[in-house]
Amino acid sequence: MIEVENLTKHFRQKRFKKFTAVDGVSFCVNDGEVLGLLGPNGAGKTTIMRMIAAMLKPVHGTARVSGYDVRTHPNQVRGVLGILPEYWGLYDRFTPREHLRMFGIFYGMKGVALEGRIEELITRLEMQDYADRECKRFSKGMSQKVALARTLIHDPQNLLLDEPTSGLDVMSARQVRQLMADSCKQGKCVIVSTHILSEAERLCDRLVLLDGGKVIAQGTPASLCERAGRDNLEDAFLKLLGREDVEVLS
Amino acid sequence: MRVMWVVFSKEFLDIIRDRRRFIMTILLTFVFLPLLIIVPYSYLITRTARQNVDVITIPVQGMDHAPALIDYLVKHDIQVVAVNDVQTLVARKDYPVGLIIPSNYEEKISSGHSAEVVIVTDMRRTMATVFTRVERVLEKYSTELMHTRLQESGIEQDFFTPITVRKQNAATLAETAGSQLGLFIPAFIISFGLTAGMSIAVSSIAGEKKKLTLEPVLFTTISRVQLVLAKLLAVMASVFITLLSIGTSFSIMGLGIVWVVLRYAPLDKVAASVAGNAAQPSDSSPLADGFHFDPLAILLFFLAPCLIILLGAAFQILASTWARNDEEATTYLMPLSLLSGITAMLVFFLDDFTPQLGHYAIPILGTVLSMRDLLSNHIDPATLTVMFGTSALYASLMIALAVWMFHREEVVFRT
Repeated sequence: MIEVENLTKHFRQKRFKKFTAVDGVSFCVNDGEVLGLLGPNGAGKTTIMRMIAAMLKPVHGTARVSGYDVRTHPNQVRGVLGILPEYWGLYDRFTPREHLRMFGIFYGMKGVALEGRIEELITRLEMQDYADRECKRFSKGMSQKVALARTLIHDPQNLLLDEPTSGLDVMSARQVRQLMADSCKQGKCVIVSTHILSEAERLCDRLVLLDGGKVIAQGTPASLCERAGRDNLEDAFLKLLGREDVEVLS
Repeated sequence: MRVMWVVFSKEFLDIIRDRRRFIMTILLTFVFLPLLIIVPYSYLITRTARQNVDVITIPVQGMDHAPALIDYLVKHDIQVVAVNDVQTLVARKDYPVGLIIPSNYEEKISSGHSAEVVIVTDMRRTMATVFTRVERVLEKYSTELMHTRLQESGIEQDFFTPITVRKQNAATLAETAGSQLGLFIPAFIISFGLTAGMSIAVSSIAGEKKKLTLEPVLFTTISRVQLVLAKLLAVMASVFITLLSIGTSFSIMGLGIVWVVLRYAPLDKVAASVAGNAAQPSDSSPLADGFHFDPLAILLFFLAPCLIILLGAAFQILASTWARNDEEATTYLMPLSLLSGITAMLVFFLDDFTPQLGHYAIPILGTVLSMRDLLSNHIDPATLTVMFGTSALYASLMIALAVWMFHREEVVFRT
């Protein structure tokens, strides 16, 4: 379970000016639930995820992950979180197996348990053909799978996935969606940040709509459509953001 | 510890697996660089040895004017050929040097006057030592002639040398040896020590920021202190490996030169020639004169630069953390490269400098001074305590600063 309460973050800019990236954001995600964070670029999605991961300290408010407060127990928070960043950040000259071993050790795993978990993830994500090849010439799909496996290595109860299907082909994107659905069935708590509205509509139990660091609306996809008076999520999204004047290119 | 070992070994595996770069570094350090030094130096030494002892042939203009001199030259392995124009032959590079004996030579010598002989040489041939050899033989012949003249006149040789000069060293043998070795070795170790780990410091933090590989590591439960210390150890290890490699490379160079010289230079003749000229007292290097190092001094000598290298490594980690990417980190670290160059220059100003205790607290200077002292077998507990104590303090502060910087979110996450 992830609880976010009045989360606020400022960044210092030049000449002592402050920029508010996240402004009083609150939401809650239960175990076995998928929450989608939606919003245009610069809405504050990545900053919220970094604060939930105890990487950035909130100016106001807090977040609790499986009961651990990000302010007081950052290391315990990271121990129960699996985070997939938007950019995978793989080491070119290391194999997927080595990545998994290294990150498993970072999470305090070792021995047979670690090796067993590595084999399990390699099989589950169908990486057997390239598990022992250096990552430098991997396709986007292959790299995304390695990053996902790295996220899951310590079998975290909570997952933060930043643009998990961005740039993937149909097959790879489908596998990632399946994995998210499976995680949800296993009772894990998942927060996913995405631009793909159709995916959000299909996968997420609830959505949080962000703009300028603030929560504009939150609820189920159907309730958001109803609230906006539109019959699809894209139109509802633009209506709620007040951007219905965006012209369609022809 | 296991986590730190994983981070530490990752940095090295990353370098070793860059096969082209790794193989090139190995070849450059252990093959190309030694060859680049061994080939010209051993050639030069062998050629110089040969030019000094082999039978050489020189053209002589006016050979008939000085039969005794010609006999003397031949007796000293300098063969002569009679020619009419020495200048042209030497200018054409047919011979390295030639001799012109004037027609009035015999007359001047027999009348007790001074006769001028001319050694023609081509100054463009800067590496030729034949000129020196011919000049030396002629000077020796001249001295022998002078002795004969003095004997004939009943004058003692001392009459012409009313004052003899003898050099006496005010420093001990150990101090002299330390001063000679201290001219380059401390500066060499500190210069490389401050810069050799730079590439790993830059790639392990600023480089990782650029490649976006740092953030996933920070998402894990590894502590930032462990991360910084592991990367610091990797930088330190890289410095020591580089110093060891360069030391090995220099040993290969030295052994290579010795092997070539032993194999190709006429050392037996050189030895005989040296024995023949042994009349002059040798003011040779004390290093070759039975000097021995104190084992404790050697141990302290190698320990002395460690803390200053640690200080440099921590500074590199700090700069690499502050930088947005590897290019920026390299720019920030340029002053450190300059500083290491200044260290090399520093030793040239130390001759007239009498250090006080406080000078040993100045970073780098204190280390260089201590290393020079230790090379002279001079173990002073007070100066060593000041140097080690202050270096440890500076290194600790710099490490604390690097760890603090690594905790600053606005620094770690900016790219």
